[in-house]
Amino acid sequence: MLNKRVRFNKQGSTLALYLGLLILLLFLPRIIQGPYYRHILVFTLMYVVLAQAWNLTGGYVGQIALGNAVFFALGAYTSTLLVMRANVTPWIGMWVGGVVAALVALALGSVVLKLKGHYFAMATLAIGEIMRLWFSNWKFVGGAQGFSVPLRGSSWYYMQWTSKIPYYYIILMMAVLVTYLVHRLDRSKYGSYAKAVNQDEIAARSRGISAFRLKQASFALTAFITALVGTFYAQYVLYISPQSVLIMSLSILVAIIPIVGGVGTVWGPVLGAVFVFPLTEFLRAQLGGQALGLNYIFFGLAVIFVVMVEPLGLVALINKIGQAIRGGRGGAHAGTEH
Amino acid sequence: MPVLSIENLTKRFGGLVAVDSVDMRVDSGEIVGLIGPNGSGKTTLFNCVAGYYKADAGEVRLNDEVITDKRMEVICEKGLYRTFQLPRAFPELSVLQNVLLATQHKHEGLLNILLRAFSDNLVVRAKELAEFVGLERLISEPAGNLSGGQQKLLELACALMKEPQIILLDEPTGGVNPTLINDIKARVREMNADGMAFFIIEHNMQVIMDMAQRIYVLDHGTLIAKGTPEEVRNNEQVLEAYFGK
Amino acid sequence: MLVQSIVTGLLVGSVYSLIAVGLTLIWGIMELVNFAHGSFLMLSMYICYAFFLWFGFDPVFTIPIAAVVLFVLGFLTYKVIIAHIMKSPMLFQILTTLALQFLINYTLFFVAKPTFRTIKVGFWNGCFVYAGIFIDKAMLAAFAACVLGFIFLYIFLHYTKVGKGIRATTDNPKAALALGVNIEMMYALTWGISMALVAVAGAMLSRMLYVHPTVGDKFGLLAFVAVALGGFGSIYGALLGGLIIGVFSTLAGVYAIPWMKLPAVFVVFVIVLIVRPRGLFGRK
Repeated sequence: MLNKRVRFNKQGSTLALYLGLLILLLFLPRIIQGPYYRHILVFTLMYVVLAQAWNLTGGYVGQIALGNAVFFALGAYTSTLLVMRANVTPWIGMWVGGVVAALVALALGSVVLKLKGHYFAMATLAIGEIMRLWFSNWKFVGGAQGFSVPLRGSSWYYMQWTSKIPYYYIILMMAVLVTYLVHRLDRSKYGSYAKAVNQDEIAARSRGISAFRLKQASFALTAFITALVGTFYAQYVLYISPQSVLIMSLSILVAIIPIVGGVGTVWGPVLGAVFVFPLTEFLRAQLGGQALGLNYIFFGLAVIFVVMVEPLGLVALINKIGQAIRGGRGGAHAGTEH
Repeated sequence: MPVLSIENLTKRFGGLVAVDSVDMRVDSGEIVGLIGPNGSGKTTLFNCVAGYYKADAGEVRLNDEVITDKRMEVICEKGLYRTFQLPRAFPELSVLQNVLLATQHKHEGLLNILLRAFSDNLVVRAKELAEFVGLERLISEPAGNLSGGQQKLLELACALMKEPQIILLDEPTGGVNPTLINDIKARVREMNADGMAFFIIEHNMQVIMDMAQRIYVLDHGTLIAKGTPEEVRNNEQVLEAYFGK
Repeated sequence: MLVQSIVTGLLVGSVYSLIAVGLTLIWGIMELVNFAHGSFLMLSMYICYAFFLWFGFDPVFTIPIAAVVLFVLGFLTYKVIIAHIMKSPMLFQILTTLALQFLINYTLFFVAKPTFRTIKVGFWNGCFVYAGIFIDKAMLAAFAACVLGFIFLYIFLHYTKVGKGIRATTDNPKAALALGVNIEMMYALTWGISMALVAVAGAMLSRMLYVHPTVGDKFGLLAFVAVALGGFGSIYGALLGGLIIGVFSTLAGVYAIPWMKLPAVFVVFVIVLIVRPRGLFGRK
């Protein structure tokens, strides 16, 4: 009886925490004024979604993809081309881009997902570069110059606004939804199957799990979500080009964020993005705004730190700190914790 | 109709013939043993039957359905479950999760996998199976922390979870302490009493002679003897194979 | 035209080979893929640029300095970072070297600003013609430097105690350990040698290319292709692989569309990985 009550309390307090967090996030634009800081919020949330998408295939299933920029670009280019050539609203173009990316992932995956470990990583790296060079030379997608998304001022139809606030809420919603999706997937059979394939693929297959199909599904889902963010990016920055959406550093960054936060966990990508981006932007502001590439330097350092000190990432680190605090305080309650 | 029938199975590695035109069968409800000196091709045979290797010739049938050259996960879902000489488990997942993962997958669609967790029935059954093999106290323990013998028991639980037609055991008592050996023997017997067919590779003569109704003997990839334990025990060729002339 | 392409391709390929051989040495001895390889190349180029800027040195003369500096850097990278992830799961190994790439590239971004810099040197410029074939002097010099690099490597690996230690460790770590070889030192030295070789290649490249923080990435990737083609772990493979890529990419540039040079190579790369991951001379 006592156990049940304690557990309910714990669930209740977790729920309260999430609600509190959500409310804070909803009111954040009121607290944080100024386009620069709001921009940081938007970018951080963008990377949360991208990192969550990567984590599905990379963290859970264990296929280290280093070419997700391909899907990002497919989303951005698809919706932009649709809006430019056919006046289709990005709200629809977004989903078209997602489907295109998923199909490309299935096609590429059928060939490339047979590779493991380093080989898969290198192959995706190469594919990313192939696409970048191809798009840089293809007139249909604007070549190296890319496209400026036609300006329409503030318009719901064209998914453009002069203020950053609507963008913030859109990407916030995406981040919340994707995190919830990953949470559901983590708890479902997918979570177990993916981790199993990750830990011992032969064992998984010998238990009847179709590892290849699982990988394909993951990869397609990763591609789909990544493409959605691609469209968002196109509408936010209003300019896309191979140099901005197809670069290797983007592909690598979305892999690094979950590692820092905690690979194969629901909150890892969130923590990874949230801890590093605002921190580096803050530092950059202190350093007089000229600090180019500071984000990447910090992520690089963060990875090395994580790998050497706490491989399970920030999630695990925070858990340990939390336990240390709780252990120190409530010795009497330790027994009733489940 | 036998549960498992192997006809003319051959597997070559480069110039070496590891399995040479072998014919075997396991009937429903039988425990059949597979013995032979080290390197005689027993595990290779299992690998071919279970879909790990592509056989070079021959045919394998499961309940009269041809399964040669099908992928291992497909063969598993069709009802042939195989364990490994060196047990394979998911080291970071709990014993319970390990057992759950061995449930039948053939009826699961993609959406089912993505959104549904394991049903309560399955969880109850997994717990029961863990208890059946004596691992109930370790149910939340990561499988990587289990001893070798305990991992073999875990494999038995997983096999049962699958509810296959036949279980292929590859040296189920290898490296296991004597008490656990008796446990494993007892569990196999119980499962067999319920109708499960077994095909067992064993080096421990006492164990296999005691459990099997029929035994096949392999040497250098060739079937050199078959029959009841008594027949095989006294077979000259078998003795030669193990002990030399 | 064909002969011209092949000649040019071989000259270019020799540089790829030298870069690739460092990668394959590391893979061969510790089964680690160094995703930061290109970044070390870039560092060498910046060192040469610095010496050009401050002292007017032609990078050829900076080679010894760059080689030593990069040797030390490679050695330290192993000791400080790589040594700790030798037992980590592959995911972490991959991401650590990727993080290293980020660190090195973007530190240069931060410090040197991403402007394109050039080294304008006086001698070994221009072309000379032999039997109707144009040979760029700078590329010929690069070729010569790479050949020398390979010769040094061969001598080092076959005639020095340390070199033999490295070969032993690559072949059979357990046996090497039993024989008293200091495995950790072998690893660290391999990293050092690897980067020293890259330094030579970088020095020669800095005479021909813009110096920029991300200039090395493309060569890093090409080195992967060379290693995959030639076989992971095989030095001759890396040599051959680099030359093949050099020739292939030059031919692709001439006979197909110019910008397809690199994508063609990468497509070949993916095909090799899928069809014959062992490459030409690889083990396993």
